[in-house]
Amino acid sequence: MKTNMKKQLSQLILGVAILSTSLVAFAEEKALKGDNRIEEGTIATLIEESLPDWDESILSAKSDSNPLARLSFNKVAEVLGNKGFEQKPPEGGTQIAEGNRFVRLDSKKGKMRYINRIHAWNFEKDAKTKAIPEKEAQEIALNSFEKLGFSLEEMKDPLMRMQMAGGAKAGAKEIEDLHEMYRLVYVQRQINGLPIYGNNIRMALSNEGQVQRLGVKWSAFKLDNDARLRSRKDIIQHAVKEIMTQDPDSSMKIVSALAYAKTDKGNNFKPVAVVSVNSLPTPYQLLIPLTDLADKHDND
Amino acid sequence: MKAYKMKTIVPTLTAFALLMPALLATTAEARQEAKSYAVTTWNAGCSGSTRNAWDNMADAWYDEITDEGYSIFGWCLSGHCADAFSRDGRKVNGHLVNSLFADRSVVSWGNDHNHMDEGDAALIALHGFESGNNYGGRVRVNESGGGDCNIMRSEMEAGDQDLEFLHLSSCQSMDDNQWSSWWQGFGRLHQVNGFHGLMWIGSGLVNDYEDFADDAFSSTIADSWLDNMYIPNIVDNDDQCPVSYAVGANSSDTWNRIGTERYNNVHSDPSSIGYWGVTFISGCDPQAETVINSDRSQ
Repeated sequence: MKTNMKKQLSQLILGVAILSTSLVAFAEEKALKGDNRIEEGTIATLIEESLPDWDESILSAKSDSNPLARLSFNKVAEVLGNKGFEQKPPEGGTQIAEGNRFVRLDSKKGKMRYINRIHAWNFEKDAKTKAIPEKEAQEIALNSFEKLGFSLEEMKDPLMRMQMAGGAKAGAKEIEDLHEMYRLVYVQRQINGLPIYGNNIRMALSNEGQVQRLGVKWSAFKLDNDARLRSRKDIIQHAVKEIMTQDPDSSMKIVSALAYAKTDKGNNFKPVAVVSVNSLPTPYQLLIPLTDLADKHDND
Repeated sequence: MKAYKMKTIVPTLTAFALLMPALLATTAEARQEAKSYAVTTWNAGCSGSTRNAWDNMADAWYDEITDEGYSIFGWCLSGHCADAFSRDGRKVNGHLVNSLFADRSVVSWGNDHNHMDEGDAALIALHGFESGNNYGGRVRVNESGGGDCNIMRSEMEAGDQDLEFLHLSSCQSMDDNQWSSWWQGFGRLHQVNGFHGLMWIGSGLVNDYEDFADDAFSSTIADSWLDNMYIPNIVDNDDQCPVSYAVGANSSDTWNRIGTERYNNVHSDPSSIGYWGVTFISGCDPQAETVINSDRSQ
């Protein structure tokens, strides 16, 4: 009898365990999908409330600054405190690797990359060193950017950060060692008071104040000549349509901003609404063009 | 005059044609292998919100890491020439199940040795979540005998077959409270790159994945991940917070690996795991988590 009761009890415990495991699994599954219980009109209202106003002046953005087209490998080396390169790349070459240095200059893609591995953080040598002060890093960075030909007027205020290294012996519960690796300088590009989506400069400075790496995303800036503004209603409906295809959740939050971005494979920028949708489980951003081309209007 | 020109041009073209194989140095040497897995629609048994742009982000990485481009007289003019990885498998939606990423030494249904772990670098793009201090990713199909719709970090032992580098385009794949246990998911894997807190999806973020792959041939994979995936104030005051994680026999070995490994500078497998190390950006404050490294209890 006792044995039977024990058996029944253990079966009951097992049953409860399986049930609770299933419930946990069910709860986790449910949490990763939006409930689709939100009306298009409600989403439109959320966007309407968060979307800034704009006018024709958004089409007057201009920039003559295309420094990547004028830069040379040796100019980069000179500005960043290195000797010139001994090799000469062939016509059309967009990259050079020599010793511990690497430079890529790709004006078509609007991209530049510089690496100097001599200045990389080295545990044996640098473990106890500290990142250079923010003010000093900012001066070095802005000086370099200006000498490389990037317009300071097209830069938002630099953000100063630090790259850290942390670690511990396998099995330890907490980080045991923490090191300052680099001082980071992050600059967002802006024109006409609006950010250029995806255009920025990132510099990592060693604890001795040397440039270890520099990443630049800075495209030639041109708006479509014959662009016309779409209506606010049209923009909102466009965004709503996109959101409805991605399982909207009734608890979603929407934050919108204006920017300039490339929204297709073309070279030209467009003013866009950046609609940030925080909806279960992974948030996403939509870039909705504020303009279409004149000939499209004519065909409508 | 015309005849003279033709006489000059024909031999030149012939010589050029003969030299083409050498000039276009598309080597047939054994290349490192890249694999990409992405889900955009969860409509095959497992639930998850549709995300239209995710496959484009994964494809941007896959196309770039495998871009051979071309070289002339040994000078790589575009792409990554002989360093480019081979296209070893791109999977978008379809029968994407958790056994592709799970190890049979951990769970009986694990089959990563025929899939993810067969490559040298892999990117996985799917919804992520955290359960306890354990990362989980939501797959698309609940495979018979394969447990459920999730691949958990605790079901992984990557690298015991081949994999060196694992990139997770997935929320909470590298939350700071997971750091002290992520090394348990390493077989002979060298590095995992993921996110503390929520990451973002969007057509405007596709280039970040291309640039990550591109830069990781010249700077370290760890730095390249941080440089291209860190987005301060992506919405209001919230950031996107990338983390790079590696292991080694000891601290010196770990920092040497994370500080020097590139797609074209791959070390031998770690001889043992005695230490784990991360690199991250201080103060990074994402959605769904506290400021990075400020509170590792949750």
